[in-house]
Amino acid sequence: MQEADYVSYIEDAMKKTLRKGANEIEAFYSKANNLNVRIEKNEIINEKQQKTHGVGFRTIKNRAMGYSYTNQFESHIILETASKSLDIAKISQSYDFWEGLPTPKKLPPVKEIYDPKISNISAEEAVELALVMLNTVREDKRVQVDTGSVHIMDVETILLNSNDIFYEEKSTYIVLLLMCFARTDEDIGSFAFDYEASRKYNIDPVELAIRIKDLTIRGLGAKEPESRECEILLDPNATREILGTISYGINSENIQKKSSPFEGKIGQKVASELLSIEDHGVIDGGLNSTSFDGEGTPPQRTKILTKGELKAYTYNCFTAFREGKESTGHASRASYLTPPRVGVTNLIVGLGSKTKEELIDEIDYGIYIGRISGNFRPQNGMISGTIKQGFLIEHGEITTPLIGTMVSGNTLDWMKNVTGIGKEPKKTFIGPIPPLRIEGVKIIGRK
Amino acid sequence: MYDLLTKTIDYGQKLTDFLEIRCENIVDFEVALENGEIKRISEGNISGCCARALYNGSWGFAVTEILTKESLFSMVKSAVSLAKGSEKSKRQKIELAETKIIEDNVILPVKKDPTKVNTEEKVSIIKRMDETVFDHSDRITSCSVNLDSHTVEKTYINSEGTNFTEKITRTEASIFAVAKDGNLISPASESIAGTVGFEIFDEFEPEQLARIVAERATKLLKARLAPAGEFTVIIDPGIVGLLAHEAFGHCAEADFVISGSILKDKIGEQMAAENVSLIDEGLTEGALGSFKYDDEGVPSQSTMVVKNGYLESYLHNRETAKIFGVEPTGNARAQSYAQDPLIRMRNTAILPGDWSFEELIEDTKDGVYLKGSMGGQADSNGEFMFGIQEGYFLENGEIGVPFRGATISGNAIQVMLDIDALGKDFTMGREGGRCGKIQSMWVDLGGPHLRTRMKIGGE
Repeated sequence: MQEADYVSYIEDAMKKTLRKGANEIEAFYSKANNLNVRIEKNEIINEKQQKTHGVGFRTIKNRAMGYSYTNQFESHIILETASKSLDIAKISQSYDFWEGLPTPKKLPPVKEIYDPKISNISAEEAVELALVMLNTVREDKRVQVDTGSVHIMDVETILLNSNDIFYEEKSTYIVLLLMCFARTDEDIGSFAFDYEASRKYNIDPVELAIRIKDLTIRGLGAKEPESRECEILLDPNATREILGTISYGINSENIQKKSSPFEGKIGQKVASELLSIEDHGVIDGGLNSTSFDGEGTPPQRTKILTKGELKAYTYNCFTAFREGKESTGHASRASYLTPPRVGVTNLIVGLGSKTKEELIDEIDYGIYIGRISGNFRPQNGMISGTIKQGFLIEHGEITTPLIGTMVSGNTLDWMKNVTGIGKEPKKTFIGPIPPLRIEGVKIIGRK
Repeated sequence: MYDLLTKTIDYGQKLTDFLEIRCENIVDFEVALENGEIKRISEGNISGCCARALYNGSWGFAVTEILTKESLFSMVKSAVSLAKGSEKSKRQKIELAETKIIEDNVILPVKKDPTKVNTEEKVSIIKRMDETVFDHSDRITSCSVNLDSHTVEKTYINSEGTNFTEKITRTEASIFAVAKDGNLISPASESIAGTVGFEIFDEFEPEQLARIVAERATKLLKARLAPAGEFTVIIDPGIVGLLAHEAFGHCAEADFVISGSILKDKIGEQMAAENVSLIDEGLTEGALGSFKYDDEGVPSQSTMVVKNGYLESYLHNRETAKIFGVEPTGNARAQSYAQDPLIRMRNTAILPGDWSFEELIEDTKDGVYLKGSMGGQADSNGEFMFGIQEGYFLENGEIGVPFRGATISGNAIQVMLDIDALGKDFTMGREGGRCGKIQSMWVDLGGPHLRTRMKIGGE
């Protein structure tokens, strides 16, 4: 059976469900080919190939929605699944403000999100990439690989709705990841973790492995610092909590259910003047770039923070209609298994003018934080966790690696206390992010 | 389907040294309520099969969702081909410990099958929870309630002759509320879950769960921030279970042991206070991590990891059991047919002692009482960190003023060695959650209240 048959089954099921009384219907089909090579215990553990696909139907009846999905592409199962979504819509809640599914629009061109070279990576080539990483980090036998992987993904999505939308997109991803620790007769270091991800086949496994090898070894001989308040420099991998506070806070679902700290704060200063952030859904090569969002609205470039002032929230159709607005193209869905929610695309933090070294040079006493392992509450910004891949900064230089060191505070305050932003961003899963320097952060170590 | 799988094994076993096939049919249901409004009702049914082939000491794994003879044969060929592809890179050839041949058909008991409960009744349960939260206080501004059920029918067959089917039903309700007072914002959450059907709501009144969350969110609004530093702590059974699972249990997973975990080469050595025993088991009826056979066809069991303070066993799959020369412990679990099995915990608990809760509190002149776990992580060197939702100062043997949640941290071994009092109020199960070691996996937790020392990342 070919993909064209699947699409014709889906279209047929949509027509029949409309005839059964549905007012609108949308189908989201996705197909993913995954190739994964996993490293554990300093060995290549296995190679996995996963070919998965499925379709989810969102049906609207009297302004109420139902959702149902399947991965079995027999025509009667597809029809039953679409009918099920109608049955669910009939007993679900009606929303008077619902205006309808999106209509066809000119889609923005998005470059460099599909690379046939990634699609064509063979199993042997993927193993070779993993071996290069493994052999490079293991040049120093103190380095133990806890986990590593080469992940190749080739995804195709098709979005159809009863307003004649028929959008298709192909995407590719390559992700190389390593989590290592150093072990000697006297010492065990903590995990050192880093990754490289791209939509193009342009990643250097040796560069990543050397970076992690060095980081792992530098973690040996760690000490506990004294408890005090000081300046911190967050590595791009450690900005997840700050950016998580922002992406949660601007999400219109959270605004509307009154759990966001940014409710009613458009136009107000919520961060340092140094901090400007955009959400850019169509940036070339962006890990989250796409030419249509999870329900068919073209993504756009949205100013979120400008010099610390909150500028916008993110919306899908449902949350936008509730406020009489238009969707900002932020309908997000991870796969056909879920109906669209609201999310962010690529967060672009406005760059500063200093290198990481220059930012460190200006710190008399502080902490460099590679990762934070702990808990934070985006509803109120409270954060408390253990510092990982952390180092003491003394008189402008990185000195001692840290162990048993915790950080606590509030990310809403941290956003206001940014004192420096790097000029060299790292391509992270949430966007290109530079290092951030923050003052007045509570560090818990020795008494 | 069984005949087709038998033919596929017959075909595939000629191509490789060992072959297993696992097929699953999964039915999921979810209803989500936000501030009294139905936000989502979703129902889905997916199926698929995977093949894992061991060829000359190397694994290959492939998946298909097209359940025809051609597709299943092709899946097996891919798995064998992938095993051959990585064979050259193996320094140590994988071998499997022997295990008895299983032939069985299992249905874990369910009194109220979620697939037979109508949607209106499901919505009614979470609406009652939502109303209970908002009725508690006008300072509650937000409440999200989710109800999920997950039914998997698994068929496993391997080239050694083992074949079994197992049907497992899981039901879960979770609730999250936010209270506000001016600029003060206080979130709180709870969940109940098990390998059960809707009888879970007869056993645990859903409104009671809602009341706990509402009380916690409003009470903590004006609570002071958590203190910072190292403290004598009394932790509730949920946090104790997390200590058993996250801080200690992961270090005892044999794959992590081989990588160099802090428990490497420590069998027989003292790793906890002498009164402390820790188990990982998959037999407690209704607990979220229970099942009869793991995803290699090994019977689930109760594994004594620490006995009276001394490390007794690691947690094994067939591969690591062979390396260590022991029996597999039934810990090979896969998230779904799309994933290969890894060593995962099941229901992990510290066993009880003989202190009453009141005695624990009265005996603690200076310390803190911590409640409500929020998940956590552990590191290679035994350092762990958990989120907790609420705490109370203990002064002269009495529970004092509350403080807000924070992260607690310590070294797993040291914290286990520092345990000096174990409660007798043992509970296992229903605290369940997901463990995120590469794949998401249902696990459960248990334990009594206990006393030890930990660091708190507070103000």
